Amino acid sequence: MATLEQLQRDFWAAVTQGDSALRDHVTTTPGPDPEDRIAIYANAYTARLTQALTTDYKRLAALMGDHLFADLARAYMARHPSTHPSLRYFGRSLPGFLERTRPWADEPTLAELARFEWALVEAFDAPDADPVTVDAMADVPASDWPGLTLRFHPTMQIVAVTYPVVALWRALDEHDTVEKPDPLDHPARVLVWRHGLTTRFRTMDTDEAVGLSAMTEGAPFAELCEALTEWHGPQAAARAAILLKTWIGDGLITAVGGREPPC
Amino acid sequence: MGRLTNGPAMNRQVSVHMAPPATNRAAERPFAGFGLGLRPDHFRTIVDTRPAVDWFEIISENFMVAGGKPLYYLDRIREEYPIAMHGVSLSIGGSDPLDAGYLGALKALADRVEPLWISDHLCWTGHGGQHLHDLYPLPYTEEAIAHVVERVQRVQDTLGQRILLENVSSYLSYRVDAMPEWEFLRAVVERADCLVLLDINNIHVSAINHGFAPGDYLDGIPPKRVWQIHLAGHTDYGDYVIDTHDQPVPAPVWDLYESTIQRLGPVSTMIERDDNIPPLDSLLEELDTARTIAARALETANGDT
Ligand SMILES: [Fe+2]
Repeated sequence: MATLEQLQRDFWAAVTQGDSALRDHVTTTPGPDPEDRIAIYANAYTARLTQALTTDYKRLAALMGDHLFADLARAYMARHPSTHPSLRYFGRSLPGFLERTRPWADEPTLAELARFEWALVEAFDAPDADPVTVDAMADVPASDWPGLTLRFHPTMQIVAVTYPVVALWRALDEHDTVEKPDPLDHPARVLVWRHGLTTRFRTMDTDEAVGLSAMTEGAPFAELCEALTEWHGPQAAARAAILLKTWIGDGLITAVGGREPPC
Repeated sequence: MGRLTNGPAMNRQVSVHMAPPATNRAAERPFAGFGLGLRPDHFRTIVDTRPAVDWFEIISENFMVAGGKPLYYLDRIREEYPIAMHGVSLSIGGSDPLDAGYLGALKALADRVEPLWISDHLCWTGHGGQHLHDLYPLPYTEEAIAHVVERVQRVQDTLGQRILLENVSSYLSYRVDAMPEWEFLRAVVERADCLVLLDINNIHVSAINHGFAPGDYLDGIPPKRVWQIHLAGHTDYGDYVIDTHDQPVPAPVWDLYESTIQRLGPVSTMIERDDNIPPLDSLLEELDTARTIAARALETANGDT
């Protein structure tokens, strides 16, 4: 297989790095020169992978503009080439790449917006699960409430932000150009999930974010109430009940259980 | 060039529930009618309006996901229509080992869909663990034939059925080429005992890019093994043509389709639009054109004999 493998290695190097060894494998025929024929493949490679990133990171691409986004895409594909049979997964390392790599790391808005957009991509085709309804909670005896644990929908993700990423995302949806925003006064958490077939998201208030994080780690309902006293004092239990009702209404909870998290 | 037998195909174990067995070379070409590539833009319209399409073809990789809209609509549409599976990442001619994880996902999807058939491309798509997501031409050599044949047989063993391999568009050819593309295609599919998905647009595009006569191509392929046809459009860049699959099927491709059907008889045919996706209605119109041309081709072919 020596010839075939060598040829494919040279072809790969031509497409991904502009290497010239492939030239010697290619026939000269009427029409375009061998270099131009090779360039068709090399250009298509860059264009196709850039297009895949533009699809998954539409708002980031809009924020950066075509030119700068194309630069980013080229740097990213050199560092994180596709290793999955589906292009669907090619962009998965972009948020981390933006966080770690200058000059993009100097503008944290970029990585945060990317992380949010990737959460939307993930929520789109993550596993299905049937949420519970409010009726299911009616069957829980009062004595079981303190020990109640929750299982959350497999599409649910929590994205930490220090910039108004959701507002930025919406603005980019409506306008061609958007000013880069100032940081938030306090870090926030954005909830992303799929409800039925619809991908949804919202920025959580701090108390909800803290409570939800605790519950996803398997804390019982009593701990949720306790955590909420910081904001709500004696009203903490009432607030906990409201949050639980909200989560159920949002289709976020797929099972309720006792002291041990439901499975 | 030396002739190999189909030896290994004869004594492989195929469990009884798998159909059709890969060794059943006598199987007649089935005719599924006229289909369309299933694209997410059309999911809702298809479910809501049940258009007059005989079958759909899915891009297999797009449905190798856990849940959500893709699988929801796949299952809904499968309830109403036969579906063929068309992959883009098998890399049957690649020098990397066959990807067992990918083949497992393909088999799992096939168990879900129970497809008309499963196809991929006669090409290679990656190297050194990297996926390049393009369909690269193979050198037309004995070495490549032997390599592809052995891999096709292993894929067919895994899937428990024969696969279709599609001819790709290409923009360059190799110095080591020892035969024309159609001889290479024929050798691979006959020795591996697999089938052909003939993309008429790709023949047209490659004929222009390499300066061969499309008729020679059609004469060179094994007619009974052609189970499916792709029709698509392309973009003309002056001294070369690229199979962008983002345009309506153009006149020369329709002409070539007509002479293909005259030679082969009825073959399941579909419009393959990958980009610049128009409303479903306009694809249905193109599909009607395919029906008309195929009917005319069959009449002429019958008249000739
Ligand atoms: Fe095709």
